[in-house]
Amino acid sequence: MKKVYNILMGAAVLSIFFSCQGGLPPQVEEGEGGENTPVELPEPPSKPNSANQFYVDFFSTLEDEGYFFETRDSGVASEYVKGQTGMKSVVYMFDRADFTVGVSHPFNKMSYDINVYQFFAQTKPTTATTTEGTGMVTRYIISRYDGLAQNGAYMSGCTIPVPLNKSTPICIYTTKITSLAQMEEIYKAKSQALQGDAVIIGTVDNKVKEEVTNYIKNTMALRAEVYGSNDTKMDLLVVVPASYVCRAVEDGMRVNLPYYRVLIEKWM
Amino acid sequence: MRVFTKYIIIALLAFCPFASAFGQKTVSLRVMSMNIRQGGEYAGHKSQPYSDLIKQYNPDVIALQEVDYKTLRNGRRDWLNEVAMQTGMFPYFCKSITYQDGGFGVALLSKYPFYKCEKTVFVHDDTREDRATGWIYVQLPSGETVRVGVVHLSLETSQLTIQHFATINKAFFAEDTTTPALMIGDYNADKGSDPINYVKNKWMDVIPDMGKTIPTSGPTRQLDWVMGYPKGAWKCTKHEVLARTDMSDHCFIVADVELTIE
Repeated sequence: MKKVYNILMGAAVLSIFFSCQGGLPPQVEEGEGGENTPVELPEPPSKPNSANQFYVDFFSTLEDEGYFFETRDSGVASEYVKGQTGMKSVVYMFDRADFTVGVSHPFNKMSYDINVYQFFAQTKPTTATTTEGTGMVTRYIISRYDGLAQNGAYMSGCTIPVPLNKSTPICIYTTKITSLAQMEEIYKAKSQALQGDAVIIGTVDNKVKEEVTNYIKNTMALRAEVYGSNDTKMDLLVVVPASYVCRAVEDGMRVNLPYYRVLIEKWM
Repeated sequence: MRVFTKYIIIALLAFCPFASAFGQKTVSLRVMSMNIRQGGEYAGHKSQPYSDLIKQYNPDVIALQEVDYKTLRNGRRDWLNEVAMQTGMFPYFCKSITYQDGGFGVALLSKYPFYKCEKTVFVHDDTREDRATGWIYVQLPSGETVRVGVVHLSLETSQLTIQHFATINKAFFAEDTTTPALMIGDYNADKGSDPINYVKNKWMDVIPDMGKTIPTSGPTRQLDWVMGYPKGAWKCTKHEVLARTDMSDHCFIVADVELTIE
């Protein structure tokens, strides 16, 4: 009988040990002094090369306050995409363009009406009724859709042929980050993809933006920029690999649709 | 003291990973298979009749075969997007060939968003046409992720049908062998045939008592299948074979399936 007790006790101790192991976050590499070792990324040239640049338009209030088209007309968004002149954006993203089961999503109609390709990137867990996320439309044929949904982290995007000096397939992802753990999950799953021709344009909670951007720069070895003010709940987050650089972010307003125009350059 | 220790141990084991390994979780979803025959020619290429049927059965995912995208014969309509708008679902079109100034292929409609999707196209000199297979990753409201694919296999010879499915297996399992999956559609192969026996090496027949599925006017063969991966993880709790002579030569399948996760 004592033997049985010992076996059971041993199993219990082992189980506690293993369950703690599973819950630990991944360890960030540390330098000799114990602090995180910053990764030195090559400096991009100071002179922009307009032939190798592209725009992405990100529509958002940065408040994460509810369905974007609740008080806004998706027809205005369609008109904006259709009527854009000059250097057109390659992708248009609409933050909090949430999807409700059984209700026609505005991007289905936009895709139908103005001949664009659509994608919905969920940014929160799926629910039986409404799922939060970002709607994306593009004029370019989407060759690949990629994404992840694991342990509370969500990131999705699509690969399109971006007209740079030569047509370059670039995966344009979006995400919503509210904790460092989510970015750690993204790193675990997509570190290789993000070192290639891939960018992330999404949002990050103001409260965690510093630790998240430090993690992106020092552990993920990517460039990270945030745009916004402390007045908004979220900031715009732009993440690019070393061979890319975010040249500018301009904010604008189309009727009552606030947007950010992100200019990215592939310089290497 | 011994009794107290026993209760402590039982309580600890209840929360330990070993205990959860013995626990099982069941996930249910309703799926449909619809080979709409030449882009819905039986219904004059209109989308509404198909949308009405879909709404009547309220499936989570639909696997569609023979879908037209802006072809001359369908009046250059984005048929799939029309159904998506009418049903409030997410569309994913996988083009097999350029046809009549538009596209022709397979498609998926999902009640819930999909966060990733992939496709592979089978190209072979001895086949009549190239054929696409696509699949989506859907996180269900229960939190579980499933992969659902749509297939329409080559029919020229049994050998080609097998070769086609072999390339699908290769692409499908290239990067992921763990996510539970369904592969639904027109296998162009009957019960007991070599191609179906080949498919069953890796996949399981989720509806063994499906019945005949073609032609709708009096079915004599089963060409439409719901296959599941991994083997033993899926079961069908209820299914219906819909013979709609006004919509296709293939019967449509509606099935409630359950996935048991260890």
